[in-house]
Amino acid sequence: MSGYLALSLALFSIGALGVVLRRNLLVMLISIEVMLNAAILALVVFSRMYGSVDGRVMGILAIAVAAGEVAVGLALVIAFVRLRGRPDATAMDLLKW
Amino acid sequence: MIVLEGSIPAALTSLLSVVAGLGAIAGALVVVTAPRAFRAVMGLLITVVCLSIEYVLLAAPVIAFIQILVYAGAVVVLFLFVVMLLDLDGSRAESSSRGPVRWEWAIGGTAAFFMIGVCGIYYLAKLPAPAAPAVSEATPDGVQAIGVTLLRDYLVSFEAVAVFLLAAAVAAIYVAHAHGRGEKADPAEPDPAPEAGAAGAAAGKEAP
Repeated sequence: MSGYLALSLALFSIGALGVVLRRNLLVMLISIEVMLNAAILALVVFSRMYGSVDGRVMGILAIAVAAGEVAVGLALVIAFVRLRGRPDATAMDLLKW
Repeated sequence: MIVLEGSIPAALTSLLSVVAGLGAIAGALVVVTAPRAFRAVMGLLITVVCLSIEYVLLAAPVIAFIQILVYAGAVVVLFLFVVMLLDLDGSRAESSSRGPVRWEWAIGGTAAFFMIGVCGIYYLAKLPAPAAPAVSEATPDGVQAIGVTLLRDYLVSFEAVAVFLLAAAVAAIYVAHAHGRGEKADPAEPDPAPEAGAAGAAAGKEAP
């Protein structure tokens, strides 16, 4: 079980690194997906460890929320690319003044 | 459904879990390091499939099924659609200027987080074993238990997720829809493609 938790931790760290280091908005969204997958893996591992189905139910709900998050995030990426012509996170300065 | 205990040797399952875990990490590394967005999407696909193998090994085939259905079936395809529609692959996708975060700080912070997490896992492994490690109750994989728990204890969350998905769909359509550009430029002109739309929007912003 510790190995699965370590895998979840490693995936979350790699995803966080991708969000922080990459500047392509789409790659940042994909890295967020990797982090969400790591969290769902941790939920399933704890569900298995403690003999309860609650973690799996939360995993199902988390997957549903992840699907909605992807839809809204990709719509925002499309709107931003329409505005600026490139999906560069450093070009996001609409709310700066 | 799948009952792994007894049908497959334990050494084989542990080997498979190690291989799938390494595959998931390799896919995540591909996501972070890929120069093109298309390869990052493929890395996400590798991670998703390897994690669903892990879910099967963790005696949670329902989660594995939903993972393949939602992630590999919907999310990855949605990402691929956006990559193909917007032509995000190319040298202009990522500027060469320095980002707001220095990479030394990012890697150092992530390594510190990883070390703290390893300490937490070590502490958790030192704790006494939980009371009932057997999850299978009524059916081999607990499908019935999951359904009852989802629709009884988590009914409010279930309904909230339903409303959230509807709101997310409406919001996605609203945000991605091209607002008002047709009125400003030429009402008779048909809605341009995203490529032309990007250029048109940029030109329209700077012209007045």
